[in-house]
Amino acid sequence: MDAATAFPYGLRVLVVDDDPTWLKILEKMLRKCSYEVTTCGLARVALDILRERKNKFDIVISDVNMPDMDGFKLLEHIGLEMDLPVIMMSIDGETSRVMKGVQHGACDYLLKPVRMKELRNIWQHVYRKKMHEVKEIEGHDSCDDLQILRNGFEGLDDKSLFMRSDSDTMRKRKDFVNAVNQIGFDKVGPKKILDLMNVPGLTRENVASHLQKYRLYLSRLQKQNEERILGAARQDFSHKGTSENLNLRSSFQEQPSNIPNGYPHASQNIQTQANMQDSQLEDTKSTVPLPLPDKKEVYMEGDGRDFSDVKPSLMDCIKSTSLALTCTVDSISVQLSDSGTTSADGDLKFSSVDGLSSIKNCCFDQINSQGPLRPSQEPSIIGCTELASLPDDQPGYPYPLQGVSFDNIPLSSFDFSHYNDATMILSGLQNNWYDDDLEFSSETMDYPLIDGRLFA
Amino acid sequence: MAAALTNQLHALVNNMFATGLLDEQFQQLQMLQDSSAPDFVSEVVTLFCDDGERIIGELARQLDQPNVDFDRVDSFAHQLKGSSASVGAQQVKNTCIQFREFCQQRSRDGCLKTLDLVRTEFYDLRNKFQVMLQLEKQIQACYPKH
Repeated sequence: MDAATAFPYGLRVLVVDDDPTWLKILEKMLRKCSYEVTTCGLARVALDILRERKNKFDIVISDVNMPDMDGFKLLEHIGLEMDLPVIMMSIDGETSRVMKGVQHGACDYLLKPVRMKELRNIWQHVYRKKMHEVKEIEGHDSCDDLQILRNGFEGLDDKSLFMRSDSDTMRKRKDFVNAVNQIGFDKVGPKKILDLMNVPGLTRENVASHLQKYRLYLSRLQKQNEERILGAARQDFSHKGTSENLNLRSSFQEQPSNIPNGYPHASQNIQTQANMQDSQLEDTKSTVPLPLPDKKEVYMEGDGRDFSDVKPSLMDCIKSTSLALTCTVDSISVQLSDSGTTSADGDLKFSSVDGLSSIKNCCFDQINSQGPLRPSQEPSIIGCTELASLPDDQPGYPYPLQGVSFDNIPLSSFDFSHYNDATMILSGLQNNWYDDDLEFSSETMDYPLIDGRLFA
Repeated sequence: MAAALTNQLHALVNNMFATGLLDEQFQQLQMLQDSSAPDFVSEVVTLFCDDGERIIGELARQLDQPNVDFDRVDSFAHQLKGSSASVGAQQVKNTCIQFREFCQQRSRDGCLKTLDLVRTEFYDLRNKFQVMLQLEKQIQACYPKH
C-alpha cells in the first residue's frame, strides 16, 4: 500500500442528514478527503442500510435534528447494533446538546457549518476504536474469562491481525490447531502449544489468548447443541416469572407427549422464541444432567476422533465461563432495555432477508418487544460474540467482523442450514481456524450441519 | 463580452458579502467546486432555494393555525437556520435565530412579523442567486466546449 491508498483512504462513511443541502455539501467534502461516501436523508433508512450492509461502513456521521427519528436515538441504535463510531452534527452548539451527544455515545460532536479539516480528521475515531480493541485482546491474561468476553463484545477488529498477511496467519492457526491436537485438548496449555508450534516471535500471551478463544468457541457450540437437545427433552425449567417465561412454559407444556420426537417442535419453538428460550435454558444448565450418550452420538460424526475426553474440559470451561457471562451482562442489559425499539409483531423476516444482519435485527426487535431484559437472558447474546470474537481476517472482509454483527444472535437457536449466509459466515469463521484436511476441523465444521440434521 | 459578464458577477457576489447577505461559508462552497463537480455551487444553491421555499411554506401554514404549535414552528425555523447556514446565507440565518426566540416566547405576533421578514430576505437572496447563476451560465456560454 502506497501513501496514496493507505488508511484512511477510502474510509467508508455514512452520512445521515434530513437537509438535502447539507447532505450534498458533506458528500462533496468527504469525497474531497478521498473517503467513500454514502448519503441518507432519513434515520430509519440509515439504520436499514447499516443493518443490510453491516461491515460495509467504518463510521457514521449524523445530524441531531431529524424529522423521523431523533439523532440521539439513531446514535444509540448504531452503538448497540453495529458498534460503529458515530459523529453527531448540529447547527446548535449548546453545551447541553453536546453533552447529550457524548452521553449517548457519540465519539465527536461537530458544529455546522462543518469545515473540511474537521472532516478530514474523522478517521481518528475509527483508528482509536481499533486500537482499543487490539490493546484489550493483546493485553489479557489467559485465565481472565471476563476480559475475553469483553473483547468479544467489542469485536475482534484486530488491526494487527488485519495487517499481517493472510497466509502467515493461516499458517499460524494451522500450527496452533495441530499443536492442540497433538497435545490433546484436555491436556493443552499455552506453554505446551508454544513449544510445539515453535514460531519465532510468538509469545505465550498470544497463544494463551488464542487458546481461550478457541475453548470458548467450542464450548459455545457444544452448549448450543446441548441446549437444543435439552430443550426438546425438558418439560419443566425454572422461570423468573416474567410473561415471556410463561409463554415458553406453556408452549412446552402443551406438548408433553411430543418429547420423544419433540425435536421438530422444540426446534420450532426455539426458532421462533429464539432468544428467550436459550437464555432460560442457559440459566438452568447447571441443574440439568447432560445426556452424555446423546452427545457422543451427535459429535461422533464419521470420525475416530474422540470427543469424550474433550467434553470434561469443555464442561469445566462452560462452568467457569458461565459466571463470567453473567457478570459482563449487567452493563449491556441496561443499554438494551433502554434502547426502546419495539417491533409490535414478532415478525420473523427470516425468509425474506438474507444475511445475519436482518436475523439479528429481528432478534433484537424480539428482545425488546418482549419487555425488559433480565440478566439471565443476556448470556446467549454475549455468548455469540465469542464466536464473533475469533480472529477473522477472511479476504472478503476489509474490517472483518466488527464484532457486533453477531452480538444479538443466539446462534444456538437457528437452524443454520436455512440461512445460507449464516452458514457461510460461520463456516468461513471455522475455515479460518482449520484446514479441511484436519480431522478436528471436519467435526467442528459439522456443528451447524448437525443441528440441521437433527432438526430438519 | 465575457469580461463584462465576469465583472458583473464579481460585483454582485462581492456586494452580497459586503451587505451581510452571505458569509464565508459561501466561499467554502466556491472552493469545493472543481473539475469533478463543475456545477457544484449552482446545484447546492438550487437545492437551498427549493428547500427554503418549502420550509417557509410550512412556517406560514403552522402560524396560520388557530392554535399555533410553537414547537413545530420552532422546528421548522431550526431547519431553515440549518439550511441557510449551509450556503452561507447569513442574513436569513440570523433572522431564523430571532424567529426561534419568538417561538420560545410563544409570541404569535412576533413569529408572524419575523416570518414576513425572513420571507422577504429569502426571496431577495434567491433573486440574487438566480442572477448569479444566470451570469455564470452566460459566461460559460462564451467559452464553448469542443
